[in-house]
Amino acid sequence: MDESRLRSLGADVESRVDLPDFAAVAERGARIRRRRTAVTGAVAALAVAVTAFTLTHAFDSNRSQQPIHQPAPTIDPEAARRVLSDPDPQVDTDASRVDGAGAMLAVVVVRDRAFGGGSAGSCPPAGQRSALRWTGPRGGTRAWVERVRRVEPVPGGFVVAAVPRACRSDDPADARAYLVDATGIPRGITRGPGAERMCATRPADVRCHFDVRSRAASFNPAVRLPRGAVPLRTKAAGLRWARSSDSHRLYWSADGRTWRHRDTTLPAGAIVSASAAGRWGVLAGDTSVELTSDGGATWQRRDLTAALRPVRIGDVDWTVTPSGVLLGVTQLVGRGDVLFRSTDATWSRFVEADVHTAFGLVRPVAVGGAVYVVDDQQWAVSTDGGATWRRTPPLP
Amino acid sequence: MAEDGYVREVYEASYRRLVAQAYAVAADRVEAEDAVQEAFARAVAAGDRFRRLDNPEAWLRTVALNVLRRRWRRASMFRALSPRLAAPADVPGISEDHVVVVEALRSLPFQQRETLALFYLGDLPVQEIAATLGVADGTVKSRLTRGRTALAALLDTTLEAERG
Repeated sequence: MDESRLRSLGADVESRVDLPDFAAVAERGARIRRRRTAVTGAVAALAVAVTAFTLTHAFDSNRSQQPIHQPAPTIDPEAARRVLSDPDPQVDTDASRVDGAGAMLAVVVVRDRAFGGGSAGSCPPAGQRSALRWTGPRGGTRAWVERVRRVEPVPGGFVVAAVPRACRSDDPADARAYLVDATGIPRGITRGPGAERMCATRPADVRCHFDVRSRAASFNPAVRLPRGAVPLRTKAAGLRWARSSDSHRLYWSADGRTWRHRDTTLPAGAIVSASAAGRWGVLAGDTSVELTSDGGATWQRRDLTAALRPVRIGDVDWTVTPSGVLLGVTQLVGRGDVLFRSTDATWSRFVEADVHTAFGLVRPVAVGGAVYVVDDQQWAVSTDGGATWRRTPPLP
Repeated sequence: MAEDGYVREVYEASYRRLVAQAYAVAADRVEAEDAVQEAFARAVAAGDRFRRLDNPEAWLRTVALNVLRRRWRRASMFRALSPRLAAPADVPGISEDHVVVVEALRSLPFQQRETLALFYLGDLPVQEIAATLGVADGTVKSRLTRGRTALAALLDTTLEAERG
């Protein structure tokens, strides 16, 4: 057997293969052609349908370009006063918020004991009365009766979201969100395309933008959070920040579309907290921190052990303010939780703040130019980087 | 249809030659004939585009090889589960010696088989085989060398040295 055995194989096979009737091959080819025609037709039909849908959608969008004005709620201060002067009003600390100027919008709830306080799913209990109480940075207050709604701080005020769909009554006002301006006055919103659907019920959504001054809401579908990210600061002007769910990664973005990130290099197993404000970003674990003060362009690592020695800390929840002051909450044996802060942006010296509680402070939250910390009863608000604190006035 | 008439001319001239080459690749007459008929059917479906080809037989060979390669990949999984679901079909009447050669070809990897088939049965130069298979010339040469060596071992003989 040599190479010729392979060559002669071809000739041998060729001579013994019958030539099938070409009609069968032609029919097979015609079937292929029909199938291709059908597929091409289907694709063309789909393209027409998609085009028609897109054009219709665009037409609808154009039609809804007309801003929709939603009126402010009717204020009944007397009814609000009755809620606030109840013998047992409670502030819902989870729902209440502080805005960037240091104003607070407290959600005050009075549960009707006659109804036993039972609730239907996630909706407020039947018979519950509630009010919103705005407290300005200089101490003035306003209050109005309102159902329990989500409150979101935005630059220059607050957004009060629509009542969750499942909890709405027949009152059309339940489906509307509204603004609270810098003087504590509720204002209606003029909504742009898309904003009426998403932003009324979920004002914290990163795609929603509210301008209190022009009383307008807009929806930008191009803005996106990175997958699995938790927003930190996505409403303020300037850099947007987010963190991973385990706080080991900080994300930042100038436009909300493209995001950069930094993973912590702190020792494995360290309990890390991620905080960001303005151009400052901090990944902190125990007394070591990684920080950027230039919006993520450069990062450095600092050991704060020596600087923190005077305040004798244990585990710390850290927060950075837009001016670069670092605040921490830690628990001291025998004293409960205390708040301390750096005296400036160098973080070379820390002092204890005049904010402490036996019950536990919630980690400070930086909003715009304000920072606040909550215990189970009250807020302490600072607008000077934690140097001085103002406690919210007690309920009447 | 005019195009069908042209395809028929090519069919009558090339069908047996292409089946022989495909048979060396597939080592199964039914598979080989079906792949070549599929190639001609696509030529019919291609209509006037087929007429404009410079080398219609090369086009048909490439289509048939692609069909065989795709089927071989699909069948690989089933062969692993059940090595011989059905015995491959031989061309009736071919010599005993060629049956042995085809049996040996079946033992080679698919890529070596198609390279040997194009080189020895299709009588194509290395460059054209490389273009047909979409690989480098060197790859064709190494597949030829390995294929020949393996085939020689299987047939217990030595093949001639590679052509220039």
